Amino acid sequence: MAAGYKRDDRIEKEMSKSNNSFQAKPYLDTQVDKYADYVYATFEYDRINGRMKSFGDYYYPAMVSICTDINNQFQAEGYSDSPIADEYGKTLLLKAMEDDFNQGNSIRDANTFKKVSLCGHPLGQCAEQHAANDLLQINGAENITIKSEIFFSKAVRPVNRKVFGPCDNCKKLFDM
Amino acid sequence: MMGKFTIVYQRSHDIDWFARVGHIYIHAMSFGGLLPASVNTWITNLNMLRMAYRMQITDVNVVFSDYVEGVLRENNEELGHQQDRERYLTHFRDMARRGFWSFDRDPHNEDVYHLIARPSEGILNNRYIHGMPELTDGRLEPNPSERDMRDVRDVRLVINR
Repeated sequence: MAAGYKRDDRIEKEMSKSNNSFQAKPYLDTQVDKYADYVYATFEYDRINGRMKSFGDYYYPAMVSICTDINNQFQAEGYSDSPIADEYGKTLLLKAMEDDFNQGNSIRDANTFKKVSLCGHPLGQCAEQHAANDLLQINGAENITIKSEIFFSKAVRPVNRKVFGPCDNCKKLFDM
Repeated sequence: MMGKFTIVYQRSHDIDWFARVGHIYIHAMSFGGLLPASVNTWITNLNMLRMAYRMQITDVNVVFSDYVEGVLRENNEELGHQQDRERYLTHFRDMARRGFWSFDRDPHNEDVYHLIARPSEGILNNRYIHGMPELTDGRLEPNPSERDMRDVRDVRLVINR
């Protein structure tokens, strides 16, 4: 996943948990368009020049997203990818997934990520979930409250920059 | 990673897949949908992808389908600028200029794909791609005959599961 980074000063502090109207959203939405263009351009460049691996992979991620915390101190980019329990286990996100989707029982393998999902997408595959996991790995961001203190840009499909709303898993996990 | 694409991988990726239906070479974007069984092979699909990107983007005219024109009208506010429209269509247009009929998955039904762009001549005669898998579990609706191929504005690609 893409690494997180410290805040941009153009984003003001103090937001409320409304993922459609938080203060930093216009800025994050602009940034995610740029990120989607970057992902697309990188794949095209690599493919045309015979380098077939981009973002650790051969094919475009279906979606990309960016998230920030309630104080706009941190941001992280993410793209849809297979869920890996060990990655989510590095933060509190795996525990939150287990509590919300598996009655607190362990989620360790791909089958469980599929089985506990509320929609057609396996739990843990979305760009938002990968972005949040990266956000929570930034130094100082470890204890951000997942449901109430993480905010997201729109989610964008890199191939054509089309915008899609959050899935049922993301709505529940992040209270969107 | 060889063999088939796993379900989890397919769900999280926008996979360019390739197949032949009769005389027509197809490029399609899966957008998280499950691939047709007859094209779900890592190595074959990667080879087709490599081959597609080695093919020159020609300057042939491209026909955009009525479907995508409708989508663009619906998204007028979102895609109001010519630049955004270009960005929306670029990938499919480039594949059409390589000689493919380029399809995108219906966002609500993973078994249906809509034609986005195709070469205006129907088929580019110099495009013969070795090893292109035949789509045995899907069909074009309507299936354009060679005679009326140049007039086609809308085709659906339907996958049989």
